[in-house]
Amino acid sequence: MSENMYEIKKYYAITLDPIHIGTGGSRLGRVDLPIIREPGTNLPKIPGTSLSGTARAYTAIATNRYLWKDGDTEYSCAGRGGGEKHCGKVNPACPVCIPYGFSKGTGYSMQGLAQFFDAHILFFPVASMAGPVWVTSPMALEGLGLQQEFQAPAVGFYPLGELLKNKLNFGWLMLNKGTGKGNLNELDQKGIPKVVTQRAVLVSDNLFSLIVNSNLEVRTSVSIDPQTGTAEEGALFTYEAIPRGTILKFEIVYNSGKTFRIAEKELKTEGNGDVGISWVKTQVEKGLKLFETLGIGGMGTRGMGRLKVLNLEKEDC
Amino acid sequence: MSHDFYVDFRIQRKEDIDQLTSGSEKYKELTDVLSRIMALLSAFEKEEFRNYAKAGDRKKPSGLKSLIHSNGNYNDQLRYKLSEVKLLGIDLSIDISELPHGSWIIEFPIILKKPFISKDDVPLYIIENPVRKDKVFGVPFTSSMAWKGNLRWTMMKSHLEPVVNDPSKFAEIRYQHTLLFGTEKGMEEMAKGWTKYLDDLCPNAKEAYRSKLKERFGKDEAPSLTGMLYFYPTFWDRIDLEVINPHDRKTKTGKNPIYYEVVPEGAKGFFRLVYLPFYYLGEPLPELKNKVLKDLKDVIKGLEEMMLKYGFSAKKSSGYGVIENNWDKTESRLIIKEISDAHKFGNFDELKKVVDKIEGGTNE
Repeated sequence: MSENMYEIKKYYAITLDPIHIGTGGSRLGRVDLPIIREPGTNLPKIPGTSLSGTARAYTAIATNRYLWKDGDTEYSCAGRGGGEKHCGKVNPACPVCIPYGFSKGTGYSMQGLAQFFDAHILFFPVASMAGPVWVTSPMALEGLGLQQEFQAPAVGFYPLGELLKNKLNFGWLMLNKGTGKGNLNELDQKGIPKVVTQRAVLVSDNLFSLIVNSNLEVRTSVSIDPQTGTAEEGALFTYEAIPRGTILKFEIVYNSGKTFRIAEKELKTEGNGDVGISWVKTQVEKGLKLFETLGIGGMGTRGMGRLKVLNLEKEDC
Repeated sequence: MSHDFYVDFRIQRKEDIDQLTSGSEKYKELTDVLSRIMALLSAFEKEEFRNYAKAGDRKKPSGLKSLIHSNGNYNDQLRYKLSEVKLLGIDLSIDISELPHGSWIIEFPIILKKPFISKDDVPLYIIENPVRKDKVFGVPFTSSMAWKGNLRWTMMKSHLEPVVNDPSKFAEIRYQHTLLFGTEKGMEEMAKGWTKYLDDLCPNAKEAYRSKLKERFGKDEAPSLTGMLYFYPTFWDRIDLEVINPHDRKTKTGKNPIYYEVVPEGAKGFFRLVYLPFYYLGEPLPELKNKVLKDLKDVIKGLEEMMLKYGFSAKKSSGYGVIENNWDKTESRLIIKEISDAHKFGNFDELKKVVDKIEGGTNE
């Protein structure tokens, strides 16, 4: 029986620091540096391009392909390459160029074998009168493969865990407990911390967007005046971020490289094995593992952006 | 129910403040102390309640002061939340096993010798100076940005200022700091801010510094660089309230006490710093080792000065934000990937000795 040609893997991740994936400009009436949102729902997200670009750089770091030499030729397989910088080696296959794709000036290129999709908020943490709770909605829970229907009250909340309160605040918003449907028992095996599912609260899709957008991290930063060591005049700026403790979900499609031919050459691994789904996944997960140390998005060296992927296949990384 | 937290728990009488403080009557539902502190905000509505909501009066302590000091067992709740933060994997050791050769991590517990002050960003709070807390968990913390900004400033003071009369040395150290912390703010065509300050500090080093950048990165304009140092937040296990009471020059009495939240002396947190030799990747191990160890020694000197001498807090010139030079050795860690295994150290002198041993090749 032939092996599948692709595999879709669903990842769950928790933000260890606030994450700022900026829009690259400001919007009237908002903070100086807003974050990217999904146009239809207005919910913050991490675009697949940010995941892919960062994972590529980190796989390159983990496999010593960030800046490396083959004889006298210097390569950098991280980044977009820009001509001849990607090595594009197919036998043995480069652990960066083959999973993420490459483009060489000498005429041949290849699309990546891993396809990244946007990361969406699954459980959003909010400070409440009962301590932190994690808010979710039927739409956020869609596509998880849970064999049940979720229903939330139109105006109110429905506890999915062990919360016993009859009313609860989500920042400034107060809601009563209402009737709903669903539980998270099937999520146990996905690596999501128990404290999150125990304190999970279901609200309607409309309220979810309102609660998330009212409770985003909004921080103010200043520059330090080197002369005085104090805050510099006029250097104040505000930025938005997805707060610590948010659970995100995203998918990666891993394609097998068995049928690919680059310049009429087959793709082979170090030991002359096939470039199968599992090899591609292993290389990508080496990069995903570094999200929890080096972060993703803006202000990475200043403590923003660490994201711990919760269901990596540990034996491979 | 009004759907507005602040209306639902609105303070209308002085007794409401006492009930809120003790968590009785309608405030019984507010089991989270930080939520009770936030609910104090509605006391702003009436002027006569404002000061009472901060600290009570001479006869009866109440409001924020009581919540922090006793009634709410706030510090117990903070420690519980801190354990939750750890359960979520947020305040744990950093794994550097996948980082390239020469990457290092320094990690050690820190205990405050003097209180730490910072300013939270909440738009409204019952006092003017709340300490910075995590938005979700309410645990006070020193942000990674604060660590980075303070260390860069301290290293400028301790490494650059003493060599202003030696332009070549100055340019070399300034270049090293750029690789460690990233592009200087103000590095534009018309230099301003940090860049202008360093240009003016040693004008003869200005061109040499820019040439070094051009030589390494091959660009005419200043490259945008990421730093090789990665900073992480320090979560503290305690909070306290301090007061300063400016005295009237005529009557010699104080009438407008200013309250500010602090992380008190004795509070414990963890400091973690990771270094990734981004700009030395691909170099042979002996050369890499020399560069990595030089950076490590310079950063340790900067850390020592920042944590023991200059401080890393607001009001640092008044002595705030310094730590004890003595910590639990078993909780510390220095690892240099492929160069040295884990070493432990109980103060800065021991840390420096460890690095000297690694440099001398005695990696025991």
